[in-house]
Amino acid sequence: MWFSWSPVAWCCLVSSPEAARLSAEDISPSSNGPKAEPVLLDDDPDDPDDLFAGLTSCESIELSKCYQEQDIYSYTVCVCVCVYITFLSILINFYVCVCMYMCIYIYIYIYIYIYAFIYLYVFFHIYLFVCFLFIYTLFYIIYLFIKIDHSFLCICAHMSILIVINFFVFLGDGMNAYMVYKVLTKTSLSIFSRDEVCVKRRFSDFLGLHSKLASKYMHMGYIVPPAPEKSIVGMTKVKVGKEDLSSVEFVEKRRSALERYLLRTVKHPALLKDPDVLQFLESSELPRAVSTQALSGAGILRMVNKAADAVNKMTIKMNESDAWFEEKQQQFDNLDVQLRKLHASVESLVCHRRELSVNTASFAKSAAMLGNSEDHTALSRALSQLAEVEEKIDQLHQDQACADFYLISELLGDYVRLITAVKGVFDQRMKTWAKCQDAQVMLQRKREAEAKLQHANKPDKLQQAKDEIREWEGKVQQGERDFEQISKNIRREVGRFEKDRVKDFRVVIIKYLESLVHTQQQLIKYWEAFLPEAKAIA
Amino acid sequence: MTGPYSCCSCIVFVHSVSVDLNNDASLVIDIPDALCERDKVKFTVHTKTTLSSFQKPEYSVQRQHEDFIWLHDTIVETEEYAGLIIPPAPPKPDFEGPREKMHKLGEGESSMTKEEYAKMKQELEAEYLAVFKKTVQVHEVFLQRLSSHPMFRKDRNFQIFLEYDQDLTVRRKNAKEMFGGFFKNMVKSADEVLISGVKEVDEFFEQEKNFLLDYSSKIKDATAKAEKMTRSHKNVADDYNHISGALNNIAADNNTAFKKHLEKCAEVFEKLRVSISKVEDRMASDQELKLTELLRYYTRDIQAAKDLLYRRARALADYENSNKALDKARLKGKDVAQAEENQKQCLQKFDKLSESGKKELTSFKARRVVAFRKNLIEMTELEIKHAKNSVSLLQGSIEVLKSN
Repeated sequence: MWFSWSPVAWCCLVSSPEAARLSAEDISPSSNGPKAEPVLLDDDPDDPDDLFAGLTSCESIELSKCYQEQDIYSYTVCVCVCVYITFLSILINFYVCVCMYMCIYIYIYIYIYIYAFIYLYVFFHIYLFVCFLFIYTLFYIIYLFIKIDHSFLCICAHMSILIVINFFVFLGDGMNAYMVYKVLTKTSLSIFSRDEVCVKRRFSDFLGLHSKLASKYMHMGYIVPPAPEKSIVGMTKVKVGKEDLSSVEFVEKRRSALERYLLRTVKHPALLKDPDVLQFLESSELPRAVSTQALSGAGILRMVNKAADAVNKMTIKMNESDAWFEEKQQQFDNLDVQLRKLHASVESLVCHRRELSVNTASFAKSAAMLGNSEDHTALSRALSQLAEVEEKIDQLHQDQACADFYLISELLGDYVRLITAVKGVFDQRMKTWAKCQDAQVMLQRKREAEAKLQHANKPDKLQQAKDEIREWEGKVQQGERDFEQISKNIRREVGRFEKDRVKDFRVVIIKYLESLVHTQQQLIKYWEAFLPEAKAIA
Repeated sequence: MTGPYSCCSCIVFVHSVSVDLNNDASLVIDIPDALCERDKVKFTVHTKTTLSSFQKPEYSVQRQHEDFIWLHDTIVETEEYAGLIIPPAPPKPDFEGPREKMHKLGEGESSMTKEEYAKMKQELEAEYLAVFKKTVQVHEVFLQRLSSHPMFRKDRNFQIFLEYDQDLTVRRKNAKEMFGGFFKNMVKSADEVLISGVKEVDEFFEQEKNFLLDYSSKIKDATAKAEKMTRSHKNVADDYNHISGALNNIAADNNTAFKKHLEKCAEVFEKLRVSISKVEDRMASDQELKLTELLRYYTRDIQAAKDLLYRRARALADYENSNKALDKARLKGKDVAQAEENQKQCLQKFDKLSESGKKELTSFKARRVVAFRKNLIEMTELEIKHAKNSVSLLQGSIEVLKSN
């Protein structure tokens, strides 16, 4: 029923010898967000805490049911088969022995027969027992392989964490229906309570996770990966129950987007240890994230905040002391523009390629009809062959269009949103600076007030003023420290982002080129098969 | 952008959709050069001949598209050639596509970078050249078919066309004549319908008629679909051009940390642009040149064959009418001799048409089969060549990227 060709399921395979170092003590028990110390990462470019330093990514095609259910199923099958074979063997064993006994009976005296029978019986049992022991172990090994391998994932030696999302079911009915996704996490990290967890989540849960992480980490300068966008149109079509190609594609798009979102989130070393993320991945029940609904109170508050932010951005004029930040900001602005242009071109490519495949199919039909009405037999056959070749080519174009879309277009969309998140982080830094400046201004004012009071000679008010000054001095210091911290964080985050970006793009482009090569090779095959037919026209 | 465009002569290949028509060395025609001025295209027709009916052994004259049409129309109107398949007139040169692009280029000139502008200009020139090649080829084939046919090459008008030094200054059809032409077409199609009811005596022609009617509609359909397919293919190639341009831009301005790494990437992307977009473009245009042009040409040719059948059927109808008139005259006892004479002429005409028609149609079928074969083989070989090219370039790029 569902569109079963998802050429890329992003799974993140990590080789990390340091994984074993992480332990549960690092996670602070409070869910207000981690304290500054444990989660703070060094400026060191080859960060030892960076789990994903030697990232190699490996793609695979993934569509399977949830592990737990499949496990039980295959296990029971194996056990039943073993038991069945045991009984069968005992039965056969018995009959064999009886037969042998009957045979020997004819030739030798009875008392010897009994001994012979007993010896034979025991001997056979031992032999068969050994045989079946061997068979049992064989079955167990097969069972283990099925357990590991049945979803055709590629396994690397140091696999640390792997996340896969699948559809489950559409619960509810009518307009209140919602899609439930199964999130499967396989990991060898010790911060997770189990090796394998499978939980059910709704789309709004993902959005809730993102909003929580954003509120906790954005102001510290961490780049929080953005969640996939809501799409009322797409979802409504699916809810209405249309099972045409576009709604199937929509669901597939959303599923892979959610997968990529989760993988990016856990790639971030600080976010991985965050208790909200752990709760999201592990706990079977999650409080419904109502605040993500567009018309809820929180939603409206968010919109108001966004508007306020936009106004602030225009009014804050930051004098940039660090040239690095200015340069980076410029760079990201440029990159944003270019990525959007590239995204638009790729989308038009996908559209045109789909058109090409449709036109090729109609031409194939028309060529077939032409071949039918042609009266010269060899030419008629050649034309029919041409029609077949064109049909195969049309299918090829369709597949290529899918590859275009899922590999490149979606990745570009993700990066356009990511760059928006990065720009948001820069804005946060500006806000922190503004706060720091405000605090300084306040301090100045308080000092002036104190000076005035000293001249006016009011001792009690003076004490209050001195207290306020101390308070504001503390705030200024805190503000400066925050600003330093956020600048440091941003530098590190941007470095990590750039590295990841280059890696991602390179991998995707290589993959895409390989798919193009494959298409061209198929084309060569088809045309070479057609050539002798064309030459055979007499 | 105005002004004359002169395309150089060396690149004009002869991809004829008919068989080698220049076999006979006694009359060799080709179009080595062509000049394009805004709307008009001036072809240089070059003739080499050993025939005595020509005054000089070699000629080189300038002709316009309208002159070709005039030649075609006069041949159609000649009674003598009623029994022959008259080569279809070449279609008017259509520079609509490149002209649109040129317009777009002119408009967007300010908003594009220098490299983009240069690239687009290159694209535009390539497309222009392709359309140019096509139209020259079609005109050339028309002349060559006339020259290779034993009857047409002796035609007086054809000789004038090849010989006359100055401009033919063919009088353009004025409004009345155009309307008359249109009206004649309508009458002809109505006539065709009426005549298709006439009982066919000859089995061969009955078969041919059915076959041609069926085939012409199918080939028209196939041509339209092939055109659509080639157009989408060209769109895809265009898109790849834009994408590689954008990728280049992204790779070009990046921070110094990855500069070396990304410079190599920029090289690779430039190569990619060549391998992907140019190859796709070439594939699309080759497909168009071979397949679509072939189908288009034979649509017109089949129409010419249908015209021949129509003329023959008209002659048959005339013959039957003259028979009826003779019977009526015999009954009335007047003008018997005249009616007899009339009937004999009609019969003669009909017989002549049938005989030459049969020959023409058989040779037409042979010619068609050979042309299809040649073009299909060439198209397949070209597609394979381009695909192999693209594969090797892509694999090279993948190696470079992986080794980084």
